[in-house]
Amino acid sequence: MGLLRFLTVLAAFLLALPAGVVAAGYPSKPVAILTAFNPGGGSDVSHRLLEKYGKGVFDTPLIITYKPGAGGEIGWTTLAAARPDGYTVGGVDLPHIVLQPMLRKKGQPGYQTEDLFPLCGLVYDANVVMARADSPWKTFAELIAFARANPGKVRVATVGKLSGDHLFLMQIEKATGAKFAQVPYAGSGKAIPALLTGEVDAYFGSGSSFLRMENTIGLAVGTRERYALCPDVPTFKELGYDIESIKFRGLAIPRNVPEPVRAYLESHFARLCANPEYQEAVRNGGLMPAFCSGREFADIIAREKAAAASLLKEFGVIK
Amino acid sequence: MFDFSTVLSNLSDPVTLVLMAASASFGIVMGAVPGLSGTLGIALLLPFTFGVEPHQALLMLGSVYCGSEYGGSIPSILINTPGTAAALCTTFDGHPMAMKGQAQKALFTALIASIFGGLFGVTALLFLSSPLAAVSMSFGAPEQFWLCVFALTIIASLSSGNVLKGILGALLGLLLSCVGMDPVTAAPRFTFNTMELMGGVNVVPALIGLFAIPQALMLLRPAGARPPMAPYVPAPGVLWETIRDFCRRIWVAGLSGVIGVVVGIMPGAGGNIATFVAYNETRRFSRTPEKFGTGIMEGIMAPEVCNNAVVGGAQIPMLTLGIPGSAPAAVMLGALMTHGLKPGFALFTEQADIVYTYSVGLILSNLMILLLGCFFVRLFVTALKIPAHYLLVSIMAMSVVGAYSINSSTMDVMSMLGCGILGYLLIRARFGVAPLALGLILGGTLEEGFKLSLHLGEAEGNVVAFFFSRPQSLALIALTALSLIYSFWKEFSARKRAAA
Amino acid sequence: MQERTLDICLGCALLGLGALLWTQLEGLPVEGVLFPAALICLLAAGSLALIARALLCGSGVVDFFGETPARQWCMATALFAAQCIVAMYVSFRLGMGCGMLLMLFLLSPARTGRSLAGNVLFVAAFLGALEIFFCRIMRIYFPENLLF
Repeated sequence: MGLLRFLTVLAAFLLALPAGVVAAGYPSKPVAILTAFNPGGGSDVSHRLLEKYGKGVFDTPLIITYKPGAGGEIGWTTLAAARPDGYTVGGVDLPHIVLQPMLRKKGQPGYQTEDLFPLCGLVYDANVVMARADSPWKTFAELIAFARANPGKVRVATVGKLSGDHLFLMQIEKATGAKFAQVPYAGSGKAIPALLTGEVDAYFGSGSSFLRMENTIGLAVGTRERYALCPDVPTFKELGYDIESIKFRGLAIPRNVPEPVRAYLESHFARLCANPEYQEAVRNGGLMPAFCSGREFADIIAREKAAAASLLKEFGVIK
Repeated sequence: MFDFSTVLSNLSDPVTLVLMAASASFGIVMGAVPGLSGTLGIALLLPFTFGVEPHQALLMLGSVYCGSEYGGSIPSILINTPGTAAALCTTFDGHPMAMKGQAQKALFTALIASIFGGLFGVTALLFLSSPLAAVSMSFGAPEQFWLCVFALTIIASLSSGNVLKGILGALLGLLLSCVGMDPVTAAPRFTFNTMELMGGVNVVPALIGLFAIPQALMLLRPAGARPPMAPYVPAPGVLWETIRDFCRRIWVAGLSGVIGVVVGIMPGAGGNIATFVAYNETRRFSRTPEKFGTGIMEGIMAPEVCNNAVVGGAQIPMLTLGIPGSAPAAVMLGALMTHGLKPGFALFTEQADIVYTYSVGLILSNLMILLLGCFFVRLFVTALKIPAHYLLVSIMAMSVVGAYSINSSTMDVMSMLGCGILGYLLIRARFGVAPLALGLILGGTLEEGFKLSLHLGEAEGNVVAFFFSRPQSLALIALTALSLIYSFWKEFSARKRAAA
Repeated sequence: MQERTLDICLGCALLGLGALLWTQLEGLPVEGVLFPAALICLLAAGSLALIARALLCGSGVVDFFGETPARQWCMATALFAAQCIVAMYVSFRLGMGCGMLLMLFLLSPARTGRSLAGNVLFVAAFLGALEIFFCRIMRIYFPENLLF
């Protein structure tokens, strides 16, 4: 008798647990922003800003979920395989999402760039050639001259091998003919102290790292015109080199999300990104707000993919 | 400089105090549930801090951090499962003490040690930030490598009598840490071409598996048999007795505090490494080293003082240089930036009020944890009274849930299961799980230091010389060598004495 | 079982593991290979030392099950493994609930209706607390697979 009652209570309890309500309208539960990296990293800070300023713009709260591992591969593979119901959005970084599928060995499982449907572009981060303020070289030309005279002796920090920073280094080596000693670090959190403590002589990497450091100088920046966040740093174009190197970041969704859901997400993120307070916060984090629509972001991805493919073929990394 | 009255008025605001107390409780719970950690706690609490003042937000997050470092000791003592990786060493003496029926004393020891360590670390943060930040800048890749090698030598003392098996266990742990994608070259290693193994074997699910599951399996008894744990007898006055015994052993606390702060300021080394070094060094300088592992106070004091001192130490480079000294400090740094605060020496001059409110507030936070802790100890100790089979089932269920909730990863639960069975086999085969756990924790950091030193050495022209050229490296190498020689000499003389 | 025999078996198993892992190192860039290769070599050396030591001066007995009856141990381990797999791949709530209930039935000293009801209540309360703490408060959701 008591057992039967308990079983009924238990059954009722278990059936009431599922949190998802059968959707009457979208969105009916929080939208998750999937971060492919650890909490506290650059992506996390960007997504936290979205979460903060999403209140009042989105009908349900935005929440951040984490799926770190394998340099983003795990998170992006999860994103590509997620249910296309509009409740999972993922932060994507270029050039990672074009490089990873390109560099994968045959037989290795993982996502393809096309599996991630571009939702919108959010920000970009220009690449900067950084050195300490007390280095012997004060201009890019001096650095290159020294490097040409001492090939393989100038230690340059990059985040990862065959990553965005490494491509940046390759572009510089190709354009100037100088040869550097690459010292790859696992993240900007490791590369920054390496430059500050003198373990390396220069750091070819993200502008957001440059803006976090003190007592460092930027020798060149990879934007077409002077970068608003560090206007004293000359562009490569001004110095006579045809190098453009920027890291874009945006949001993507799994393929086959229904069109009205996608349109809702894109329009609401557009509203969020138009908020001047949000833009100010993004600039304080060292990134440049630059919202663009899904179609424009798809064009950027295609362009980056072509550029990376040709650069890697030239250096003999891929066939 | 800062305005003392502003700091005082900030801290006497009742809303702030309530927020701090709530955050500290949350932190203790996060640390106490195996699988959840301070890092996750800070990340989870962050959205709730958007609506409050920056100094309140910092105090809330800092309280979570301090609370979680204490909370991690609770399951270490009660169920031999580290609540956080930094509480691993607490299991060595904490659990045996609980098994002897002195669970309350063990928990109070951990509490007082944690508070002492926390206050020690915050004092360093308040008064020694500048010089310590300068020291933190002088540590580089070779030092990271040698520090890990030094930490690995404690295998010799963890597995006295069977050093060979300890070394094999550590090598297995180091190999396990290589599974997955190499963080630098992005090449997958030992993944057998599966997606599941790409992320590697995460440390915390593996620790849960290695410690909780064998513990649960070894507690299985035929129905009605005598329970393996001595009955817990509540006695009044345990707290004061513990405080008195703590003061008699204050040198342990001092030594561990210093180790915690020093290792905490090194970017790349956090609570995990620091507690191993503290435990080992305390044992080395103790008059009764053979009692370590049987449940003595010093064995709990050393890691607990240390991991709470790391909280203060890791935040020194975080606030002054923007370089976090540990994983939770990294999340706090992200939180700082979300609130518009830019780390650096400018923070101490332009936003001095916030920084000093935070640092002094951490002292208050630690005192709050002391009060909360007394309450939590009574709560957790009553949990020991539930029948053994309920406890067992709960441990196993929490292992699954804890392992899953870290990264919402099915693979983590499978790692936990695999490591659980492996751990049981290792314990029965007299290998012990601690060396494997140590290898797994240190593997990534060790390899990173190794690879970076290789690259830097190549740029200098002479790879081998680079490992041995810097004075800081030589100091660590000397410590490692001394540690090994000392261990061998003790083992040798003990055998000679036994033979005589 | 003799500790000596066990040590020899384990030493051979470790050598086999080392060989297997060595084959996995092909095709990797040099700097990714150095560290694991060094570890495998050390592991092989250690395993040989273990085998040698066991052959020359092995002694002692190891006890696999300790004070636990063998049948109970095997059933508990199998049940736990099944609980993990079902909870992760079939249905979290079902897997956890059934796993915990079955384990309690296995381990309960008494087998009365009252203790049965107590077990069911405990499991329901436990799962309910998990749901509240993890899903509602902390917004960490459990896997949703085939069934709820």
